[in-house]
Amino acid sequence: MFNADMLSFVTNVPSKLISPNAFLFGLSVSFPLIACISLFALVLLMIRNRENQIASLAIYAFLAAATWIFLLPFSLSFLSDFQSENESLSLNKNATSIGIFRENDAGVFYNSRIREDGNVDGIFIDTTGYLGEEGELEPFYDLPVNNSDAYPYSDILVKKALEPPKYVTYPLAVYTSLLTAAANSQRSGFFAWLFFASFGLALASTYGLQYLSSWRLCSALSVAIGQILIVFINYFYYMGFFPSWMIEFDKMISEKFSVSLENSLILVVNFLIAAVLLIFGISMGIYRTKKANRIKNGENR
Amino acid sequence: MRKTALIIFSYAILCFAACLAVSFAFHNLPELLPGEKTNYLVVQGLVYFMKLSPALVLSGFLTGASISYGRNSDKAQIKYSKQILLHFKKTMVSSILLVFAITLVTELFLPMCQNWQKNAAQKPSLFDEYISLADSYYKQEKMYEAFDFASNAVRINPKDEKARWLLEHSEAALNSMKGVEDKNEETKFVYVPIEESSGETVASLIKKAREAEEKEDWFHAHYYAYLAVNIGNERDTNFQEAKRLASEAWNHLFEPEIFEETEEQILFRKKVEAYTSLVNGDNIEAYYKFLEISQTNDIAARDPDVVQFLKIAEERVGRQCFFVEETKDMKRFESANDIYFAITHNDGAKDVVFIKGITPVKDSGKMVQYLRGFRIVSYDSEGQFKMSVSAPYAKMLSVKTETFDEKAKTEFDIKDNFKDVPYLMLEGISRDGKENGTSPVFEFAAGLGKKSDDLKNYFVLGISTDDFNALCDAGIGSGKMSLISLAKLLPKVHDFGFSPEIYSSAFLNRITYPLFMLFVFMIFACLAWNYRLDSPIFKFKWIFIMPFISVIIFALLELALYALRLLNFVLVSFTGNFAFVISAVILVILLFAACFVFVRKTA
Repeated sequence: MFNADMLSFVTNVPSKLISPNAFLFGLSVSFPLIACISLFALVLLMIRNRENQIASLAIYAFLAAATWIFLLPFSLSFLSDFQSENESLSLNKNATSIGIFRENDAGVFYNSRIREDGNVDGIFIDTTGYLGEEGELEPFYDLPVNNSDAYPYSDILVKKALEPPKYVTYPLAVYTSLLTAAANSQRSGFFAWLFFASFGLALASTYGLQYLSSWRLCSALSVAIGQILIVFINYFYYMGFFPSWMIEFDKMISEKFSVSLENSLILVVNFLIAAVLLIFGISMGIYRTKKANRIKNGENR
Repeated sequence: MRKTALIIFSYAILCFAACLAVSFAFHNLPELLPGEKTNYLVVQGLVYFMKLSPALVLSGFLTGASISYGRNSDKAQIKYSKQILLHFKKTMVSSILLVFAITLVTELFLPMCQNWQKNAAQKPSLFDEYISLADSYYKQEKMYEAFDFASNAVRINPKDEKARWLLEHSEAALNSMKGVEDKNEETKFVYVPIEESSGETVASLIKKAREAEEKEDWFHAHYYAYLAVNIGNERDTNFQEAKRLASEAWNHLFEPEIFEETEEQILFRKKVEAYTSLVNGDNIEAYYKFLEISQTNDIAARDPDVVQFLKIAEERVGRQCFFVEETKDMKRFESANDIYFAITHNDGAKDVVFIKGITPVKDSGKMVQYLRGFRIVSYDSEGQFKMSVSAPYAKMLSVKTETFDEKAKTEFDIKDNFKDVPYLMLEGISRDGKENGTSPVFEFAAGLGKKSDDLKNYFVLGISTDDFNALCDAGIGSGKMSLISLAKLLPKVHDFGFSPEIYSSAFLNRITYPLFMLFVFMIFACLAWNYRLDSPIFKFKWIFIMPFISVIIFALLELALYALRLLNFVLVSFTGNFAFVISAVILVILLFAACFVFVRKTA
């Protein structure tokens, strides 16, 4: 939300802090992420407190199903409605401020004054030889403001200050593409959405990993790693990074059953993952419980 | 807790070894001096390790604490139990120590290593420059310069044979020349004292003038009498005598012209012309005229009047201008490029300054610097163009504020709280003649017209030298500046034409980093308690989860720090300097909350 707010911000120009549009936009974009993280946190909570395991599993399953079947489609449709209504968040295309150096790829701009019609006077320092000779100072008069190189922000200084480090850009890119895929499935109807939601089923079944180790930290970590792997499998699928023979196989099957359903391959993959994890989880769960009981009985004896 | 320390320590060593291995296995080395490759790779490994160190330390902390909390955790059955309070105390102390270490690494050691790498990468080209210059000067038999550059080259690479050869030979040549050089030094001392009349009195000068008069040496007779008039005053008994001597000698200098001049007479007339310029205070003109005379023929070059007055003119000129020959090799040793900043005056008028390259004179402690491609553009308080000055080269001296009179202080907006200010000589004098010199170019806004007053060959920047040097540092960006120079510059950044939001938020990010990390450590302590190891046995295979934990923590930490950066930027943008208070308060509350959550933990 704050990032959206910063889109219209220009250094040294006062503006309002809370814009309701930016807030709603930020909320609807980040809601699916928050929902997934909450479900993940729920698993962590269950690793911590191992009482009433069946009841907590039931609640967890209910919450996960509710999230993926009702909440997420709802928030996605809200997001797409919102986006079509407000084409783009208002950028301050023509705003600038005086007395500040602004460096872009060509050189450095310095505005000395803003005229009444919004045009500016100032000076351009040619540090790259953009206009001919490197290191020349070119005064300019009565030029319109152009903030295009600051896109998606309104001020190149803000863009530079807020540019995320590369370790942040990549996860954000993954999230954005998954969000786009989700929105596409959601638009194509309820069944298409259910295919996408198999992703949610796989994620939720990492619940099974919680019995992996007798050290709870280790189990919690394996749940996290499992979820990350599932996210990447789905991400690679929607980005088209799957090996071609798998896609061929997918086509073959849909031809054989003469149903052409999009994304059936990922449905199969996610179901497989979920099945493996759940079977593993249930057996490990029984094993751990029995072991714990044995120890307890041993102590009691 | 000893176990935690042991785990963190051994894990850190393992990771450092891994970083070293990565740095040696996958390196992309810049060109380096021979023998520096291993050092460079070790430093590279250190840099990797230091970049990862917060995540590594946190993962060690998490696992270590998880193991150590597991023991006897059953005793903590109630909230605020003795057991948990003991854990809290130990955890807090170790967290503070670890945060201190991490902050030290990121703020001090990491930039230090990166600087070392940068220097190491620059050394080969710098060394080549020094060697080629030393070599060419040696071949031209300019031993002073050859020795100077060779000693620089040896300082960078003491093992290089060629550099040492050049140093030894130029030194030997200098030593053999020493007799001649010493003599030169002596004559210089006699003829060209810094202030020509220093150590003299009116009486002693008059005596010299009389001696010259007896020898019919009218130049010196006038010169000494003229100096006596300059330093004396009306009350001095000898003052009238000095004036009389000066005017008598002057009359002799301007005896009626003869139409058919002998060579001697032509020389005399030229000397008179040049001398007139010198007496009138036009030192640059006088310098060029005497230079021209000395270049006409051997007799003129050896003429004692010409030799002496050329020296005097050169000395005077040296105080106003610099010699373009000084700047010849400067471009190759520039310490900073593309420096720009603004100077805001009290009335809101602004000067925009741009410098293409700066070369500080070695060992002058930045007191003397050469500025290439200097340009200053002045705007009035409305932002309208007023005037601009540009010079191909300028010599900057750091001059004490007291040396300026009130007029100069108001003209250049020199504030009394500045210790030194940058004084720029804009005119370059060439020893090869007038046409090779460089002079500043002035442009004025239409209507303002140029007043001859404005056309000076010097300029004083209305900022302190300290600020000037800090601004040259600012060129490298707020993220890489040292915290101290960033803090010093912060209140003035807007006046200098930089965005206060960006610099303040960068500063805020860096000073709140330790507090934020302490909060993260407390959160991790809570996590470690929640997921503590119940069994007393630590299975060896669990060691392998450490790298995974580190990777996840690294990513989470980067995300959290980015979110913090975003939040700080918003705070600074909308609340200005209150942001520092707000951010600190929020972090302290978060920290207390995390501590509170921890001490309430039960088994």
